[in-house]
Amino acid sequence: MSLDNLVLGANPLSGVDHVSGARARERALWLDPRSIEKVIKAAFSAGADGFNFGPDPITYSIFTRMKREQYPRSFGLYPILPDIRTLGRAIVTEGSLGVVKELLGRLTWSDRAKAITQSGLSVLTANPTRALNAYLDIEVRNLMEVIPAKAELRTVLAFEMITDMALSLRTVDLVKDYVRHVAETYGIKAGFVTRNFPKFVKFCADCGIPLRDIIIMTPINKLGFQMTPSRELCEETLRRSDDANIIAMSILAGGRISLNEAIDYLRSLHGIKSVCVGVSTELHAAETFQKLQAALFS
Amino acid sequence: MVSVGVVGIGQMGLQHATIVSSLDGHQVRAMCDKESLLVRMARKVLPNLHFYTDYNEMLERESLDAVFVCTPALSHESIVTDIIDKDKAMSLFVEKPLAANYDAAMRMVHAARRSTGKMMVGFQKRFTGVFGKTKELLNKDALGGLLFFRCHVLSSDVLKETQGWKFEKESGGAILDFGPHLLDLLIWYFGEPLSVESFKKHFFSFKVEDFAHSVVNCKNGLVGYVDIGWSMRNYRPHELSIEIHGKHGSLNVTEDRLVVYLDRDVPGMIEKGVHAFHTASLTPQVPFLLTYPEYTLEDQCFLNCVESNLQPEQDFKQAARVNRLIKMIQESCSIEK
Repeated sequence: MSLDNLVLGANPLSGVDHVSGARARERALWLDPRSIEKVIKAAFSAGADGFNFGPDPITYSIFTRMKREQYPRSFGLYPILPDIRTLGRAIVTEGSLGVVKELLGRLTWSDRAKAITQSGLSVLTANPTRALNAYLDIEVRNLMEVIPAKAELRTVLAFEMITDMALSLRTVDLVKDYVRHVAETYGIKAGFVTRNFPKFVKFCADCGIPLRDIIIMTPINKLGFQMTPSRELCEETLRRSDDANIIAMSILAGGRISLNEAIDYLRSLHGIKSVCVGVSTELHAAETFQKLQAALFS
Repeated sequence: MVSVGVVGIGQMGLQHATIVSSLDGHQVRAMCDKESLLVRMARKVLPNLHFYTDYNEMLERESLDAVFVCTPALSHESIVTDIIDKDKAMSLFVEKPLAANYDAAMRMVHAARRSTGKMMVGFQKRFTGVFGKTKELLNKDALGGLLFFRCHVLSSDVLKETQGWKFEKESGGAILDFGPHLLDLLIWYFGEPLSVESFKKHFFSFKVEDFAHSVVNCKNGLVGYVDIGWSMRNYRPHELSIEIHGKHGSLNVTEDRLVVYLDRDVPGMIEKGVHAFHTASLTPQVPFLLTYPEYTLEDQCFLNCVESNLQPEQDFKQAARVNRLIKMIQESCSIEK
């Protein structure tokens, strides 16, 4: 078996754990930018060739340091953009005005001037798709300014809540426009994180979006953890989606299965192109990525 | 098929709309919000739905079986009583807490008596596997006579002064905004308390409390502590934890797992010893997953009740008990610093 890419996932490094909030809090106590940077570099040294992350200031500060020290390894970037969770919190606490404040807060002063004077806030209402794409562009630009010279943007991934809302509420035009915008602007495939893989594949078919034109990141593990509606249906969808670019995530089912079990399961499947896994220590990074590299990428 | 309207295009409104839309045989027809900016944006992005800035207009123009009310608690009473007065057959799902205060909650309970619709309030922790298993164990008297409990819901959500309706006295504060899930579980497990003594603290918020500590006396001599706070360091994500001690065992349950220690068998259920249950192993697969499976389970429960003409367990009367306990905590606070 030889997959395309082995990606380090940032969830354990940024206090996110889909299985244990206690574990997430415990990790957050001990992780600081320096130790996170060591984990990232250890993963790359052990065979990871990509990094999946959200746009948080700590990650960007690490990139800035790696850029300054001219970090020599090439690696791919799989960012989850734009940062909708912060916007979501703004909606909840301050309503729609909170969203506008949050959006404006992300812009530089010259961007703000343009937003308010040229297109105005009416862009948000007249053409929200264009406004959201513009917001994405700002976030990509902010990212590209800090990354090391040998890092390469391989995709931009839509956060799972956004993907799954879009597929259920059938925001066809928004999704098609997003895919087109990412391809035309950056020459890369747009990505989608989803925990409803079969429904998302059907949604793409309904929209006329070829699976080969996008990247899908979705939980795939022996326990069927977060494989909705069932492991069996997800496996069947995988079998039928030959030309899809699938990144398997949650391969350890939140730590409930061993790495060997995860590898055996992944090797039994067809259709996965890449694997994304999170680790929280240098030792764990070395062990995990060396093993995955040997088992799945030879 | 249940046709649904949603009042409130915030996070919870969009979440419920997404889940209901994904469930076969049900349909979200319309959404409304008083923020016209949101409505104008939503019309462009979600062309399959109808949008309004006035829920009364939505009710007049749409043929709905049920309405989800996903607005701040202060607005629940007026929206719910308006809807019941307009359409006594309308079923209503209201996000927790039922109301911003106990008096409003009781007026909504009385209003619901005029309705033939099904009423449910969004206390979705009852659908979380570990909390349901805890209830099962308590129903079977697995721990023996209950002696003591301590519990908390803590987060790092508020670490500086913040604006918004959650920080206004009549609509917010840690107890009202953050406490309801925990307080509902306590009432579910132990019944309504007999008395409460509390104190509350302001750390970053001027108008509302950021933390409250309560000593709660329940029936049959059970006593316990309750801590509710949203300004605690190193609680991101938040933690909801309940520890219960009885004459023949103890348990500790969080949203992640349940650990039970028993010094005797519970026939037909569980043997003595230590048992650990993971939430994922106790939660059934759902047809659509958005954030957590319990959100899908609660929406399915509500829609099934509407279709089957059954009253959900978490109705307005049950939910008003949470508002009463909130009132008891707030009125018993002896020190404010």
